[in-house]
Amino acid sequence: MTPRARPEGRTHWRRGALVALPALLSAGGLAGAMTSGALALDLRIQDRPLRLATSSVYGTQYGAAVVDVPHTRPDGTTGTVRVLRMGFADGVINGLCLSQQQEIMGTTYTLLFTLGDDDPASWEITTQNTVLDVREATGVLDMDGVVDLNVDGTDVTTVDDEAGNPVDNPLGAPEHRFGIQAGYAKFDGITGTVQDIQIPGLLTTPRLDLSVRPGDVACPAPAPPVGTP
Amino acid sequence: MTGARPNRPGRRAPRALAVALALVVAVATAVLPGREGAAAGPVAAEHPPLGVPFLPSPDPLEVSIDRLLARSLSVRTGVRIRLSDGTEVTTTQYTFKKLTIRRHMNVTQRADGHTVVIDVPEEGSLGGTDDQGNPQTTVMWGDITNICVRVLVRICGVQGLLNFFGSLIPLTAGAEDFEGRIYAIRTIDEQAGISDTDNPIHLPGTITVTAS
Repeated sequence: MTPRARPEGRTHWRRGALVALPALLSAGGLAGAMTSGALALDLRIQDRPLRLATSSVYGTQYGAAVVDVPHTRPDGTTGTVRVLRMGFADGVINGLCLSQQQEIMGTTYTLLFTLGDDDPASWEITTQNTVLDVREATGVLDMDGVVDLNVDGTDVTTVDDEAGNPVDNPLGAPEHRFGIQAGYAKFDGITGTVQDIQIPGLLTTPRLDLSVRPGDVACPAPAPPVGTP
Repeated sequence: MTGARPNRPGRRAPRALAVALALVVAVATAVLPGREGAAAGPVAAEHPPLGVPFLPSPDPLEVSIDRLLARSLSVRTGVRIRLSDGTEVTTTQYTFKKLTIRRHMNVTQRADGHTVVIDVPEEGSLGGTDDQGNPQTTVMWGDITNICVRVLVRICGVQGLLNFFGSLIPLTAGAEDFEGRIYAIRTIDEQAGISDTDNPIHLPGTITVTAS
């Protein structure tokens, strides 16, 4: 060991600041834009899946279909990944946590994104046209109204156009793919992996946190929702 | 010779800068504006639905239920249905009242390029009752290849049950070993509204899509 070797466990404040500052600035900019309504929240991760945890997602005019999502692999080549795209025309989300692992220069970091509060009774996030691209998800899926299973994905509807008519193929499904159509859906206690999440119509501005954590950090297990929206 | 590397700021800075840049890119991609639907295909089939109120995907669902309960099951044979690719199939329509899952349901669709699995390991509901306790209707189009009821002896197969019970098969004592190759399922609740209990479709389990 050389005399200049430093003891284990020392905090590298200057290096840490260099790493954290851009992420914090971006997070701050995002929060500001959301508050002013200048930016619709639209999360999209192309090259690596997101881990998701939420107490509940509830919505009307629920649809799902198997679609292909384009993505870029770490080696730069492109391809598609097949997912079950779930769409809610109008809805609420009861707390949301997303985490994504990053390998940067041989070091593992986790981007941790949380939206809303920790109260499973608050149903605090109101949305329009929420879309989840699910690779696998565990939870409790409840549906009501007229519920159809194995609908051709191109016939699934969720959102309406300005004239009040259902948008054709809003999930972008290729022909003859598995689909689900329901009047209402509530997906509780979800933990899983999503390739993509979009919330273009965030109607409320709940608490937003974006942090960079060293290591592989998972979202906390979601609390069961209390009551209904 | 190996040993601790000199702690030179000049070497740390590029690494830290690269880390910071990568994080900025990651955050930026996370907040990019919306995108067009992926791989959007042609919309709407040229053929109207036939036999089923919608056009089912041509790849049927393999449905298994280890144990179920229902108030009744009625059967209508020789029903002609149209699939989304335009092909027509003559199959059977099954109508359940108050269908609940008592143990393990698996719904699998194997299609070109993927497999979708909905797995409910314990209890659930595929029709059941609404939040007022009213029995709901579940209609399946396809072929139930096996279903067994114990009435003193074990009776299996839809035709065997029809022979024993007549046209309206009671399943209030339960049935087991349900296996079906089902093109379409519809459940109907005329008084719909999500409650925290007693939703007609209640699937506690896992949904998975895998490439194949």
